Amino acid sequence: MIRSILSLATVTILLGAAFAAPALDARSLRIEVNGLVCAFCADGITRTFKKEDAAAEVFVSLEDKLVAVQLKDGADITGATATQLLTDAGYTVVGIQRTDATVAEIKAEVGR
Amino acid sequence: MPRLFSLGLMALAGVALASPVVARPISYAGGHMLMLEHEPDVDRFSYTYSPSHRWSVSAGGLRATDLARSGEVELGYVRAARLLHRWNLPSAQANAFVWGGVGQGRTALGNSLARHAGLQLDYETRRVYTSFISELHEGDGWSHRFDTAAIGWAPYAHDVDRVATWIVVKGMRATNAIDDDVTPVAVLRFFTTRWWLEVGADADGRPLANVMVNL
Repeated sequence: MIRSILSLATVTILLGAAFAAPALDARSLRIEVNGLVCAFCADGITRTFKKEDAAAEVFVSLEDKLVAVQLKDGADITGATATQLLTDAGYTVVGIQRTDATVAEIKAEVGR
Repeated sequence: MPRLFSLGLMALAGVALASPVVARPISYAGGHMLMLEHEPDVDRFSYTYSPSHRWSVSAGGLRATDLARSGEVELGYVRAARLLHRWNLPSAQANAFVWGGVGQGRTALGNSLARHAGLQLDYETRRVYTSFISELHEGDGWSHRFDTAAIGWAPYAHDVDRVATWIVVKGMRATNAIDDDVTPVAVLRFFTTRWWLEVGADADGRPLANVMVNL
């Protein structure tokens, strides 16, 4: 019985480490968004994320249908929160990726 | 020639009716917006606050001239606008807005409570813009509807770090006006993340301008 409990605890810790650690280590969120067609849209999204304590920098690319949010060290914005923020701003989230790239690196990647 | 241009514009826009603002009546959540607009027969100003992307409240004024019966209308109003539906597509966005308001109206017939209601349908990509706006204003003994159909084209796809440039043609019409034909206008539109400017002229060469600022 004790062995079973220890095994279950070990598996839980390992799974937690596997899924939770990368989320906290990610430096940025790359969010694909539908409905991004004008600079006014981008301004609203930038202001929305800049109100978040965990957001260090925000970049919006209409061309790439992309919202990139760099996280402050040790801080996080969950996928659910990011989706809610963009939905409340009037846009549709297609997908969210976590990446170790900074916003500056994402900008360079998309040619900005 | 102006009439020929007018007919062409009507065919182009599908339904070329008459007149208000082309910018959206709702900003982003928490956004404040100031707008000033001059058209050949109408001047407008408004301040808008949007608690969310779905609705906004505004206070503003309107002065329309060359109107039959009422002569000239001056309005001060408060209004609420609602986003009925937004379609977010991969490279486009479409919206349906409605609004309504009340205020004080002054015409040649006297002062009275004035009410208005309007709707806006728009579809926009980074290169193509279309919209239709209709707004009905009523007071004691007078009623005017201002309609605008617009279609625009951008010579390049702008992004957040570049000024957007658009060429827009509109058909504008006010019912119960002395001249209630469709007035065709052409404007150049420029905007960035914070400000919006339109300058142009109608077929008779009368200037128009529209300035909007996101505060």
